[in-house]
Amino acid sequence: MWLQQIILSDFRCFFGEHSIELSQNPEQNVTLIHAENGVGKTTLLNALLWCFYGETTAKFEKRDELVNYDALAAGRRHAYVEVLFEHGDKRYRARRYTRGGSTDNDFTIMRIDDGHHERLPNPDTFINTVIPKGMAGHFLFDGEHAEVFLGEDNRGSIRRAVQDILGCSLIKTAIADLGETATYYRKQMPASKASASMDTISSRIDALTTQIQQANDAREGLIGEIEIIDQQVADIEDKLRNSAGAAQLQTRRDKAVGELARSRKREADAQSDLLKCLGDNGRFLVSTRITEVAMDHLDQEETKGKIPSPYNEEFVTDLLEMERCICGAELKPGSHSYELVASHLEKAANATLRSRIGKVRAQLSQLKVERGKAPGRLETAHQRLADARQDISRHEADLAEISEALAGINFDEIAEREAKRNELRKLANAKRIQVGEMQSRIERAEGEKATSERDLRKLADEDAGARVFMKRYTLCETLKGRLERELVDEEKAARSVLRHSITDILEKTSRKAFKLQMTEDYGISLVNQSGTQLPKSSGENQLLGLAFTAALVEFARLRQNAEDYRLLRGTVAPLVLDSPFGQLDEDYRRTTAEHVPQMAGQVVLMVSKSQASGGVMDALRDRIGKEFVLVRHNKASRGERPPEIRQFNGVDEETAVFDAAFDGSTFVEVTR
Amino acid sequence: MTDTNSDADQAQSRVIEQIVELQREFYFENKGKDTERRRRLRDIIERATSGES
Repeated sequence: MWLQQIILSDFRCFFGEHSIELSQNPEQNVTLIHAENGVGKTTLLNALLWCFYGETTAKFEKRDELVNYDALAAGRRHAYVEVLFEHGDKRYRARRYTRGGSTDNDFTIMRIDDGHHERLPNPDTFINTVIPKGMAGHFLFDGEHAEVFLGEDNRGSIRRAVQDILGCSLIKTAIADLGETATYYRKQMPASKASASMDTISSRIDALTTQIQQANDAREGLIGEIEIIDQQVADIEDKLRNSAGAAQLQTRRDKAVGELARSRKREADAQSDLLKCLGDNGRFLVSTRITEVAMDHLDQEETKGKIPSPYNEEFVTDLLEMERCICGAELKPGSHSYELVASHLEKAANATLRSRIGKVRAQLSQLKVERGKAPGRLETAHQRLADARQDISRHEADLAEISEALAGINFDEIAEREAKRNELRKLANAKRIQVGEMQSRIERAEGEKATSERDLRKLADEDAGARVFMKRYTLCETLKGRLERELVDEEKAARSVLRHSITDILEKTSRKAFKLQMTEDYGISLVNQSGTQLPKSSGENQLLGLAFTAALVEFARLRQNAEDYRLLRGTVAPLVLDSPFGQLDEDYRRTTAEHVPQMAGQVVLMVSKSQASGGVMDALRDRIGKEFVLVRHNKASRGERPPEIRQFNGVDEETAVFDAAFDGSTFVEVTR
Repeated sequence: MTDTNSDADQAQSRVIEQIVELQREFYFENKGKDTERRRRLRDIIERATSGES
């Protein structure tokens, strides 16, 4: 279906006749309607629903008062909504006309062929083949879906939505009818000799059926409560994860304090090492000059012959005693030669002196070697001290930074959350135990019911009059069971498709890397890559709601030619979105706005000024085919109210007019 | 035994087809007429069990 034109006459806030033409350009498939609160967005959405199905959404106030008040005051008693649309290459005009109340109305659909109008015999049937009523609510998004993931009844809402779009209405009513009919036959078994027992067993089966139903409802309720608690736990855990930042800071601080203490000890050790090093090596460093002078002196004395290295005392004495010179000449005591050699004794040194000089030389050489090594040792000791002091500065700076970060954190609150989380976990576990008990009760009751049914069958077999009713009862129960199993299988397949679709959409629009989990009983949760359940902010709930709607629309499109006789076919229909960006932040609005034109072939998007922000308009600009403003007219005078003017494509438009001829709204097309 | 089960299955499928067709008829054209729909459902069930009684 492609919407072409919507005409409203004296319908709610539209006084007189008003119409808008919607964009049918596949490339510019968005019709954008700007409207502030109370100007008629919800009325337009409900006008479509009412025209096609004679119903409005539950949130539509004063549903029985459809005729515009000024029109009534002017003596008019009727209102109508007309929708021109295209479906299967044919054009149609659907028109619902009311004489006042929402149910007192006429509905017609005309097929338009070359200007010729042909009235369809069964308009309700026809419109249900175009968009089955159960599916229509999912194409007209009035924010209800944004809340579908909240509240205790969320699983029920999601299940109904999946069944609606799957076209399960026929199977569902068949199951309900078969259940009713089975009970009818069981109670029809005629009076007989066994009738007293049969009545008792039949009553027991009724009681057990009620018990099972009640236990199932209680179990469902408990599962819903557990989901809410789990969500609260996930919320607290998320906050604690943020608080875990505080815990990490605290851990970092403890570590830094330890590191600082160790660095301070290293500094003290390095300082003593340095002092020791100075003590050990100081003499080498300060003795450099002494060593040099001493060595020079020894060398010079030897050169000058003051140190008698060539003559030693023992050698000269031996020569004198032998009275013979080393040249072989005789040395007679008293001779000149003897006196000359004897004079060498004055310069000659003995062994003790030579040994002392040798030791002095060795000591001086050692001093020289150690003096070469001393600067390196000192340098190393200095470096250790400098390193320790640098580490101390680093740890002190780190501690100052951590201290500043920790200053604003309330650790008592964190502890409180921790306690609350543990309390909620306990509560959820207690409820899980209750679910288990409830499940056992259901199984016991089902077992007893099956036994009672066997007993009943046995008794009925003995009674020809009852036998036929038992056969009918058994057939109803068998068919009901079979349809229930088939419905479960269909839903399972549908859930899988929808889950993938929603995950794909979230991947494109959400800033978090999360996956959608949808359990068999339609519990919805967002989990991260490691499977931890994440809390959903109100914005993420709205995003999830939109993604769910987009997935339903896509699923309906995939099923438009489905051949299964048990299920209604899917459909391709326009998507009407009323204020879809309400809870989203600016980034989510922009990414969602980028995705909105892809959600359906034709999109009607209604936004308020605050929602049509720069990012949204930038994302949509190239996809807008038609653009309108809903202007509010007031008979009252402006008084002190400031003018309400908005600019569209450079043109000023007053969105609230005063001293007007009527109270109501009008469409003004924005020139593009 | 298998043939008997298969025959019973097929017979049940035929009954289900009739029931769904009835639901479809009322879904599109006779919404709200629950009593009438259930009366016709009983007709289907009674026809399906009449040969066996």
